[in-house]
Amino acid sequence: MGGTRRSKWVSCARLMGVPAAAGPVQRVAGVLAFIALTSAMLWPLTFAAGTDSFPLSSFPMFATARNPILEAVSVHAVLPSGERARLPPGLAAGTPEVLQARALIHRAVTTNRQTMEVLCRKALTRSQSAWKLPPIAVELRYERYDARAYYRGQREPLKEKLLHCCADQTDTCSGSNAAQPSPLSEHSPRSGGAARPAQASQGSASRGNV
Amino acid sequence: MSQLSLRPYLLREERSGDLAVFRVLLAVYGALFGVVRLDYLLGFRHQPATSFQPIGLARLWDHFPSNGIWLTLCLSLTPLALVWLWGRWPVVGLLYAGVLTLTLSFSNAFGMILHTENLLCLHVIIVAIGSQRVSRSAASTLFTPATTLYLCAWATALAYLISGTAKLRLGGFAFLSGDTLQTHIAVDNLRKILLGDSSSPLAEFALRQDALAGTAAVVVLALELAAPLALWWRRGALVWSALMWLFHLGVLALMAIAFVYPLVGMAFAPFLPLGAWVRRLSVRRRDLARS
Repeated sequence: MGGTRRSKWVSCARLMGVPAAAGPVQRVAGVLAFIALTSAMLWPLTFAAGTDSFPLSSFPMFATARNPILEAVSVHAVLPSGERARLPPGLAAGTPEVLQARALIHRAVTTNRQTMEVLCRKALTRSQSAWKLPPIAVELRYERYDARAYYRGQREPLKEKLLHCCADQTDTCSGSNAAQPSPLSEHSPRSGGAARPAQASQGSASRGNV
Repeated sequence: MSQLSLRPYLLREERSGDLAVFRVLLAVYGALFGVVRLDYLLGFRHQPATSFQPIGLARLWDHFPSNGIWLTLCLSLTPLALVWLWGRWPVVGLLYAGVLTLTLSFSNAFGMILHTENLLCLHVIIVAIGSQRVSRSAASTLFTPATTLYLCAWATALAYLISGTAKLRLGGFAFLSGDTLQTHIAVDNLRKILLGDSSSPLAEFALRQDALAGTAAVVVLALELAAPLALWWRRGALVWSALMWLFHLGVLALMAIAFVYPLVGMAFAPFLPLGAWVRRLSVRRRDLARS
């Protein structure tokens, strides 16, 4: 009877990663560690949708059905010639990670005009010190695209709007920073590839990815 | 003969050699990670406080650390990994695990959680805890080497299983049509273009292959849901690891997203007979030197 119970315990412990040769302390520690690890890793499944954590995660990347309508605020440098060039994430938001740059830009744009101005000024300073031909201004532009249509050749944005401009000389941006509501929603994305959909303010498509 | 059995093959043999190699690889990866990502991590000092949204361990603080503390955390990653690599004091492993988890919790607390470092953190925590000594004997550790590697393998399998179930939970069976995958590829690449980052040159071609997308979606989901089988079936583990590696290669090629930890094989290393491979390699080198 006792032998049967013991062999069941050994089999059970083996399923949890404890070999038969383990000592008593290692056996108990191994079983407890397996239970703790499994519970901890499954815990994020109880989170509300759109909530995530680190290093325990519900790994929502690529999981949600996505709207192909993509809204983004991009950061453009205005060159002395008048041409515009998109700033890479490192210069635009101070991080080389594009998803983190997107979150920081989104946050700045949806908070208030002051946070937009801070982001814009920092991007201008970074790009002026990094580029041989320093830009004279930086613009934050809202753009909306149909991502699937884009790759079928429809390269023009569905909507485009200048949100903010900053420059060393005040007349470079004159008139472009009139108080206007941001087209982006105030919800900030919180996790991986599965960004929380944000509400668009105008246009035919009512919701899109930010 | 390789077969499915209720006795995990990972526990069938002495695995101290495998664990020793895995710990070295983990510490070397951690040391390199600390160097390669230093500039990225240090950049968070300049982020506005309003963007800070604490997660994980960072929730214990309501604000981002001061410059001095952040510099200390970031700059200590590589030295701690190297001291852990030396292996003299197991307690350094615990310190490294804590500093790594805390630093990455802070760096992921700016509105976007990257899922590329979760397994690195979990593996370091498991190996560090498991190698703590329970008596004066160096061989007497809290977990046996087989248990430590089994837990690491289980963490990998569970991460992929959770990712697979998330696809069904959040997207439903519609994921299997391949349309979700194609939209992800399109949105992700276009966003990179709009934000001035490099995107995949293969995206346009891939988005024209509807049948291929459907097949890929089914295969990816099946692989993720089948992850726990890799714990029970040795040959299956090799095949599964190779296919998951190819999946990450596909993500890199089509979405320009690098999951470096699985791409260099570290996520799958606990399944592999690393010790035997190293022994075989050294015997071959010795034979070559003799001849």
